[in-house]
Amino acid sequence: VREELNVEPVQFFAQTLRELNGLKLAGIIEDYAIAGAMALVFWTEPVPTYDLDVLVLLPEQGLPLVSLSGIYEWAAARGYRADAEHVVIADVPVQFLPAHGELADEAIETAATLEYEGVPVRVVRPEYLVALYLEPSARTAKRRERAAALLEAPGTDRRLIESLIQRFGLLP
Amino acid sequence: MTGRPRTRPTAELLDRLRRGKAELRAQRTRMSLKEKVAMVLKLQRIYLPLLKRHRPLAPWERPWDVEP
Repeated sequence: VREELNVEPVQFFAQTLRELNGLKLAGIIEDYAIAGAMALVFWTEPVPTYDLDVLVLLPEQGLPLVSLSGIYEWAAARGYRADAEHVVIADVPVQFLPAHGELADEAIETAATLEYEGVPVRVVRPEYLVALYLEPSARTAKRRERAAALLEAPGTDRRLIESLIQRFGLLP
Repeated sequence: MTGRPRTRPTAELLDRLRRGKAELRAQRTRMSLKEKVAMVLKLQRIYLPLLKRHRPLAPWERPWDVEP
């Protein structure tokens, strides 16, 4: 009916998540984990956000600089357009962030596999989200507020956060 | 800043209000993921006009046309 009415077909958020798993299956990324505000939504209460941050481990490329071209080529082949450093997957702007250091590597490797409408989805654990928010380059008032919300979330392991702070030198 | 004496809320009332807010946040945290995503989609529509008043929007800053 939507086709007859010339209306775009309904898209579902789960499709975006399914495509992230597809990227991993295709070997374009080694692994991924949702970070940023949407990760917060998985662990705490909903917050307004307009994009989906995805931390990615890229396969060794043998290049001096990290390239996201594999992801962009995959997106173009599937009909997803790029928009200001985002790839719009099923109408959700997704920003792929290559892991920028050992903390981000660990955040991806230790991510929790949750389920959204039957789709498995990797999400950065709250303790690692707090640690990422405490990185000097990431400290903003908004992120401090998010870190505080995560600290209050049920099940957050404060001892793990303390150990991450020590290990990665995140003290103020 | 009139310096006029005003009736202030009691500590008990303030405490009750804070506890109410904490309970609301806890309820939202306990929602299913699908309900949370539905709320994110609603919040996107609510916040966009406010955001627009503060700064120019990036091209990707718009409500997602998806179902939760």
